[in-house]
Amino acid sequence: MLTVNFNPMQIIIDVCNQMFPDLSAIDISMISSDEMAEIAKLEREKEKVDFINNNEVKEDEEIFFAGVTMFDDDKNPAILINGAVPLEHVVEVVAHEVAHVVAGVEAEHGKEFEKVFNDIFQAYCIAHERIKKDLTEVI
Amino acid sequence: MLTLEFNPIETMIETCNEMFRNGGFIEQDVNIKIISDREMNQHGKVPKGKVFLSGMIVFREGQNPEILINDLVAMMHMPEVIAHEMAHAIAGANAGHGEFFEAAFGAIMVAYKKTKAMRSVEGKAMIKDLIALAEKL
Repeated sequence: MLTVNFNPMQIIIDVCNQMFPDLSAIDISMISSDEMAEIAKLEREKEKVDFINNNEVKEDEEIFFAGVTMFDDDKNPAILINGAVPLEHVVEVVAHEVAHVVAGVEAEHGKEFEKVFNDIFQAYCIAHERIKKDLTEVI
Repeated sequence: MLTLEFNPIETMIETCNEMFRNGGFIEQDVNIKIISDREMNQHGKVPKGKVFLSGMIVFREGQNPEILINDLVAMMHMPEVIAHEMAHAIAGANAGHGEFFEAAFGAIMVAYKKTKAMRSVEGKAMIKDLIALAEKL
């Protein structure tokens, strides 16, 4: 029997579900870096002016999207994660995207978004430490 | 409710358990531990920055083998690393990367790709169509 005793991806999902039990059904999909690059290209075309005016990226600079939340008026939001992101950083990417869903599309990366993100990340760190401690005691 | 549509790690674990559930090649339980790059280097006894160890299997006498995976490995590469280490568990500590190891690794990857295809959106739709067709007949 093959088992995994510590999976950060599952921990962050469990933490979010505990913190926000009323969250609508949100699917997290893992996509390839090529698919994510296509999305990045489309988003860049759409928001070209904002991106450049905010000095977030230079005009000819390539953007690496680690994660993205798709908001659609008719559907529940969907979270896409770049499969090229290392597992260690996936937790932060999921926390970031869930914070967008909770804070709302209008909040962007403002104070409200930051507060939700910090709350999620702090809860994850506590859960992470607790699970690691439990495992050490078992071993 | 937040759900992961497709979890590569869980899918690979379930694939291996499905393949070897009746004992077969592995008599012992195998556990996977995801650890940091620093811990990985300590286990592998390599200086930091010299070699990137994505995964390793630890065979200890009288104990079950343990698979260690570096958490810097990308999610999309996790199944391959797990399959590689599982092939070592099947082939045994002294088999190295020889013929038996290669065959075990190949078999696990084929089974994983099959499971992955069945769990994809297209795969699920095909299964649904098949069930609907069977009910009609």
